[in-house]
Amino acid sequence: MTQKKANAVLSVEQVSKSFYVEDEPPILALSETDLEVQKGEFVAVIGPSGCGKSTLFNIIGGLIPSDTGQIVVEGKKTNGPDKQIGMVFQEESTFAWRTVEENIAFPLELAGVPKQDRIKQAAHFADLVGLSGFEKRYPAELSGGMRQRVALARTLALEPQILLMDEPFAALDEQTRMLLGEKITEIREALDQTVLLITHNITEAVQLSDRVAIMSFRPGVIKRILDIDLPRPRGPETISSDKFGHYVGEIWADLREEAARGLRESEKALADDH
Amino acid sequence: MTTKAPNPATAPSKMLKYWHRHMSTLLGLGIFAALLALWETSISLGWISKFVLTPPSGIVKALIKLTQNGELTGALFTTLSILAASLGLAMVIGISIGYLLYRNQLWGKAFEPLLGAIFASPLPLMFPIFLVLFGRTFYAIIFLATIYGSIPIIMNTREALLSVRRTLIWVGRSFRLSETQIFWKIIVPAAAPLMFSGIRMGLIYALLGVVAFEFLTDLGGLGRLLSELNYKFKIPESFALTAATVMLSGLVLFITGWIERSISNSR
Repeated sequence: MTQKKANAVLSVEQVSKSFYVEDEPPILALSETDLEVQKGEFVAVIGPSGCGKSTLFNIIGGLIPSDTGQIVVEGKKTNGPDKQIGMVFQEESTFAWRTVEENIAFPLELAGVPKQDRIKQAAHFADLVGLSGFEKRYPAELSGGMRQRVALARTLALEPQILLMDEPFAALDEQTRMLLGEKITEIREALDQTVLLITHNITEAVQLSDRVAIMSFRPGVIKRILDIDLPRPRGPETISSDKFGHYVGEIWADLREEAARGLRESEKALADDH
Repeated sequence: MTTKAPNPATAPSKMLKYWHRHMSTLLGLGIFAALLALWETSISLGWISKFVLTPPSGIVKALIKLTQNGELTGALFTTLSILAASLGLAMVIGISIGYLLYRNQLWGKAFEPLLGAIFASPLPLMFPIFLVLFGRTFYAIIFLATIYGSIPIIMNTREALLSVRRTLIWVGRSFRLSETQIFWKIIVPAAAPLMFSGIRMGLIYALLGVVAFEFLTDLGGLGRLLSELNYKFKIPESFALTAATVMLSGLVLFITGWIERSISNSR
């Protein structure tokens, strides 16, 4: 089921993608997937492992081509990475040889922004992600959560219309993850950012999103879109409310069947390998 | 809850802290000094003949003599010049071939065991072939030392470039960098520490090669001087020159190690 609305800033239209492995039948990762994201909206895409979430992330970001369908940003069909889309990756992606400031200023350097302006803007974005005072440090001197914030600030420095994030907090502990979630919400409000978050964490999806798109296990399609009608900011009171719990339960009810199917298939594949 | 101020009597002293931090270095230096003392004493007490083994004090005297008469300085200059030429060539060849083997995965996989085999083989035994090719000239030494030095550079360059994580490359793509920009701005700096390790190994192997081949060819440099001193049975001077060569290797290791650490300390 999909929701079609006018003035979408990002549209995923009938996107399919298969992967080919030698001597094996092709794997249909995404099948005619549709999704629309409105300006200023926070949408989470949630699904079990192997459902094609990251494939969708890579296709929207223009890193890999789709077999069919298209990605439309502000009414224009994209062809490869689009300047309106800023990507934040799941894995560690800071540049170890650059300081925090130099990391954040990297896209500005490429855009030919003069050094003084670069430093100023880098300081602004470092402050925005709560890394003020760490500008001269190297990523190795920071914690995992701080490094992810450096990567986020580096992407924000490009001032993209859409922030596309692939499980950016997956490697972090639960408490850091929740605090960074709050930070993302603050940033999104400050910059009026449109955000598309790929995640497998139900609480995170409900805590952060206006809408949650639930994906089915292989082939990946958007099975259902759920509106999250909770007040913002979503602090501890909201998170401990019955309504929050209800949303978590509702998403899990939809996901459970898909996750169980994913688990069965991956175990079967392991058994076949032996 | 109250917090207690640290008791000055039980707090570790500055000296103790210094000892903990530099324990391994101090222990190494201590063992070295003890061995030198044992060596010196064994000879002065007549346990070992001074015609067989020169005492450390004799080695220092001979080293001063070799330095004063200019023999050591001249030989050192020759060796370092050959080493610089060999390392320069090894870097150009090593980095270029390493890059090509990184670009072409099939060739890379095909050449890897071959390079490993060359690296593990006793190259000095092939010296007669190079003598036939280049004659008894410095070119023969440079050629062999270049081969010796370039193999670890080739292997590490390929390995370093291959080890750059895909996510970093994707960051470049998401910023809409060209493939050339991704290579220079992301792949090369990300691969730099491992590439430098290869250059460091290349330098050490080239130095070994240069001194060994100078010794064999009797052309010039530290190797030739050592061969001459051995031939004339100048035992203290031979020991002094060996010590000087060991010190040179140690210095090269120390400097390159320091550079390597400063590259990777920021990571």
